[in-house]
Amino acid sequence: MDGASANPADAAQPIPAQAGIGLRAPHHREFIARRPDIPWVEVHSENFFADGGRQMEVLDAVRRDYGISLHGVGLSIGSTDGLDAEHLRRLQRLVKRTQPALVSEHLSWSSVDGVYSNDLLPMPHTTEALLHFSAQVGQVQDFLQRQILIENVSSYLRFPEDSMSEWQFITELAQRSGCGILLDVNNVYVSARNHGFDADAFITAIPVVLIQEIHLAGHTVVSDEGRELLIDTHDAPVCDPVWDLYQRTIARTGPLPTLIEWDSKLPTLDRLIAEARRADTVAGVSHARVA
Amino acid sequence: MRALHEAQADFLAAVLGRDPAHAAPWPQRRLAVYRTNARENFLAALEAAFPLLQVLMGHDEFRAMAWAFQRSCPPRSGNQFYCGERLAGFLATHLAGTADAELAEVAGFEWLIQEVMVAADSAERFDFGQLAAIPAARHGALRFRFHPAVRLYTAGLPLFGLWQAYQQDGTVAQAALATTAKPEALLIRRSGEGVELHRLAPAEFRFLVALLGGASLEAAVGPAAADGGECPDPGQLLARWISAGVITGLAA
Repeated sequence: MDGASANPADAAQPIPAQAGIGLRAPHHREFIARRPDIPWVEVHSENFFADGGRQMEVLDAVRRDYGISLHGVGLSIGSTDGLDAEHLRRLQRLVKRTQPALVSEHLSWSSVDGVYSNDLLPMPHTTEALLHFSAQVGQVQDFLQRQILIENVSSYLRFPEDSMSEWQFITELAQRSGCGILLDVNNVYVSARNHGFDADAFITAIPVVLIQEIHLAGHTVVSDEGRELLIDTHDAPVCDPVWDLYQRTIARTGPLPTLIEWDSKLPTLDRLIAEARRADTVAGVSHARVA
Repeated sequence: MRALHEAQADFLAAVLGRDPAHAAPWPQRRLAVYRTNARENFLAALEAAFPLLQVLMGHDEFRAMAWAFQRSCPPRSGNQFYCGERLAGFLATHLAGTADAELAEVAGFEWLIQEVMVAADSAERFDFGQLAAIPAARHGALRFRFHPAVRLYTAGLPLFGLWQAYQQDGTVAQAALATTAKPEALLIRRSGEGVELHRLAPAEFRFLVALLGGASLEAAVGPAAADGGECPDPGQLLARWISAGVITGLAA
C-alpha cells in the first residue's frame, strides 16, 4: 500500500444522525475484536499521519465497517503563520486513504512564528481575525477538495480587542468560507459559564443549516478566587446541564451526528458506548446501526 | 487595537511564560489553564515516546527535564508526535558532564523506535531471480533496499537489556545502568504492535550502516573491517537479513 489512497472497492461508510464515539488507542484492540454496535467513530487526524504501521492497520480495519470522522487538533488554522504545508499534505493523504464522512478542525490557533503551544488557543473575535480565518479555511478546503467543519472551542480568556460574539464569529465564518459548524455543546456551556453569556443564546443564534455535527464531553470545575472556572478536560461523563442543553439543541436542529469525546481517564469501551446510547435516547433516535 | 499577529504573539508569550510582562494583563488563574495545557500536553507526548527514559530518570526528574526542554526547544509542529524529535540533542547538551550524560543515548534510541513505528509498510520481498540474472563480476557494485521500518543504532549503554527488562514489567533496575558498558550495536525493526531488537557484532553493524546509507556491497566491506579484523562473509550477512525481511530488494 502506498499509504495515499483507499481501495476504491472498499467504500467509505456514511455517518448517520446517531451517536458515535471517539476511538482512542487504549481501546483499539478491544474495538476491533468486538466490533461493537456503534455506527461511527471519530479519530484524531494527527494520530494517523504515519506512513504505515499498526495504527494505520487499525484505521483501515475500522473504516471498512464504521463511518469515520477525522478530527484535527494541530493545523492551527487561525495562526498568522499561515498553514503548515507538511501538516496539510499529511492530512490530505489521510483523507484520500480513509475517505472519511466528516473532516473537522477547531476555531483556534496554536503557533506564532513557528513556535507551538500544543493547545487550542482562542481567536480574537475581530473582523481582521474573521477574514484571516475564513481565508485559511478556504485554503484548507481547496487543498482537500472538500468541505470541513469548524468546532467552537472552550475558552477561559477573551481578548480585549473582541468586537463581536463568538457565535457571530463562527456563523460569519461558515457563511463566508462555506465550512460547516461542529457545535461542541459542552464547549458552549463551559465558555458560557466562564464568560457569563447565555449558552442558549449562542446556540439559537446559529442557523440550523450550518450545524452538521455535535460534540459532547465532560469538563472539570475548579475554583478561581472563589468563583467557578470550568475547564474542558474530556475526562468525565457529560454532565446533566450539558445533556439538557443538548436536548434543547436537538429539538431545534433535529438529530445530528453526535460524538461522545472522552480523551483522559478513559473509561471502559462499554461505558463510552453507554454514553453514546444516552445521546441517542436524548435525541430520540434508534441505537441500531443502519445497514 | 493590536493587529491579529501582535495579539497572538503577546498571548503565546504569556502562555509560554517567557516574559512576565506579557502575563501581567491577564487573570492569572485563567491564564494558568492555558499554561497547564501547554505543559501537560507536551509532557504527555514525551511520556508516550520515551517510556524507558522516564523510568530511568524517575517521574519528577523527567517532568523537570520536560519543562526545561520545552523552554529550550519549543515545538515546531502542531503534530505532537514531533515534540520529542530534538530531545536527544537537547539532552546531549543539557546533561553533558553530568553522571546522567548517557541518558541522551536512551532518548536517541527511543526516538528511533518512534520512527520505526510510523515508517511506511512494504510488502516487497527480495527477488532472487533478479539477483541471479546479474553476473557475479558485478555483484560488488550492488546496492540494496531496506525495509522502511528498520533503523541501526549504537550506544555505550546496554540498551538491549534495558529495553527487554522494561518490556517485561515496565521497570528497570537502576543497577543496570551501572554495569560495565561497552558499545552496543542494535538493529531496530517494527514487529507486530511493537519493535524487535537485534544485537549486532561491530563489523556487521558497520556493514549494514554502510549498505543502509547507500554504499555498494564492495564499498560496505571496507568499513566493516575497520577495526583491523576481517569482515564477516558478506554473503552470509546478506542472506541473514534478506531472509529476515530487513533487506527487501536491489536498489537502482
